[in-house]
Amino acid sequence: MLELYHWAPNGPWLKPLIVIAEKQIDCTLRPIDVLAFEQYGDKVPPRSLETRLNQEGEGPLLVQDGKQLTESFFLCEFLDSAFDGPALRPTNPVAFNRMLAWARFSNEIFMPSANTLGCRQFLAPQLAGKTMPVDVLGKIELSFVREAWQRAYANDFPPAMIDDSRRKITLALDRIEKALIDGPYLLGKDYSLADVDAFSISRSLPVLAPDLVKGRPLWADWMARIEARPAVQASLQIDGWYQPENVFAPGPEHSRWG
Amino acid sequence: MLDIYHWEPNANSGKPLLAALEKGVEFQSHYIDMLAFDQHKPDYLVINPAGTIPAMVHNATLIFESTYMIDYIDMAFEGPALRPADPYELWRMRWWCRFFDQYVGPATSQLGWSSFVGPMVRERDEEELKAAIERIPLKERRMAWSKAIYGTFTEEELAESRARLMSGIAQIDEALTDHDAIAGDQFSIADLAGFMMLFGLPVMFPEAANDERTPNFMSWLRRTARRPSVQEGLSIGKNPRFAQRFQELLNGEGISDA
Repeated sequence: MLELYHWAPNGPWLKPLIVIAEKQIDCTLRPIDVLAFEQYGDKVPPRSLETRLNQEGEGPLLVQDGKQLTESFFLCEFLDSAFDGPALRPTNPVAFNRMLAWARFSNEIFMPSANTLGCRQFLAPQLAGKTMPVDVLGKIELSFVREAWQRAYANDFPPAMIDDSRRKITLALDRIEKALIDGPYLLGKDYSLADVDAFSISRSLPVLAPDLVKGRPLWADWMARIEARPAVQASLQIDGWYQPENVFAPGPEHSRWG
Repeated sequence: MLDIYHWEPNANSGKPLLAALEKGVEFQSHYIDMLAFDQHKPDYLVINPAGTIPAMVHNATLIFESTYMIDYIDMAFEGPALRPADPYELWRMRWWCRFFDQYVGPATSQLGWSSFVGPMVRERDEEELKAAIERIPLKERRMAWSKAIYGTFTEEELAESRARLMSGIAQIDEALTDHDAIAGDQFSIADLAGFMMLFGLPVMFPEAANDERTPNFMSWLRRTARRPSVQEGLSIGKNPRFAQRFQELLNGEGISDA
């Protein structure tokens, strides 16, 4: 039995939803309210060592016959390698290397940066005047995840942090625009997990940093091309969320080397 | 031909080296002296414009990211598999690689740089150092180098790195309770990458890694150290410090390693 515990179809939660739809995998979807901290309650099974230390911060949890998996990109790699359906990973070693290099850049640079802007713009206002429940705080093992929640409650996003995030989003958009010169998708002619990942994070950028996405014709065409896919359309409509691109919770840590 | 540009067989530089040796792949080794800033010199920037080590070139194509160079070697060449065939074990391998690269790796490097790289480099001429930092192409690397060179890691940063290693090594120890290797029972990229990142730790930070506190971790380090590929890889180094740490690891065998 395969179960996916997920929140709104945005960012890390969107990625596995798209892969499940693309490959038509038989999976029970279990919605979780992250703002009600259901991911730390008894709606989810007791967590394994790895998933307690989810390096992604808040994100999807996949359970297959008791085995638990987190980290949206690698969870998608698992789905692609464990299930039939159209392959979403290249077989060519160079293209495969480009896909993994994208994943690393996304996990450590792009995702944390989009997430910082998203938490400031959309999460912090929802938490204004509230305090973090102490019992939940005690259940979060990773200090950077605790600190990110507290930062959002306190609406404490120093200008230097915002500038740094915007700089890194610019790097990501430059990288995407450059990759698309050679073909309709990030790895060339074939749609892959790199596109699923980059699309899922990029989807909020027009609201988070409208000035940064201007003048990027290849990026805009690519976004529209992916958004038009039936599997992507279906995923974006899951649970009837209104503007899921505005839904954020604390994400991965910014790379400690910058 | 496979060309590997590396410094000492330690941390990132060691990963592609050990992968090639483990797989029995012939390669041309190019020693880049990191302490002389060879990685920022024009000759090297032609090969890798980012100015980072290691770099790997195969059939005139640059392969990115030290951990994923191992994936490339595994896919492009014959020899024993370095990645599990089972999708869940593959996921575990990815999860722990990310934990090594993003969570405990930067903490280990920070301790190593503040205690070793910084003092070594500070013996050089001040003007020469300034010029060397100016030449670094990536802003992130420029910041990291200038911190290491001038010893400006704050006590708070170093304390955070130590705390992270105290818990992180205990967590690796826990993961090794039921398995001989990180991802499962089969040796994989995660063992290779984790070993390269952490084999100096019992000497550098014995409070976190020792036979009493983390016996599974210690026997895993020694088991990995005895692999012929690792022994051969370590002999490629030129700086006696790393070979010495390696010997100390093997010599300090405790009763837990029976």
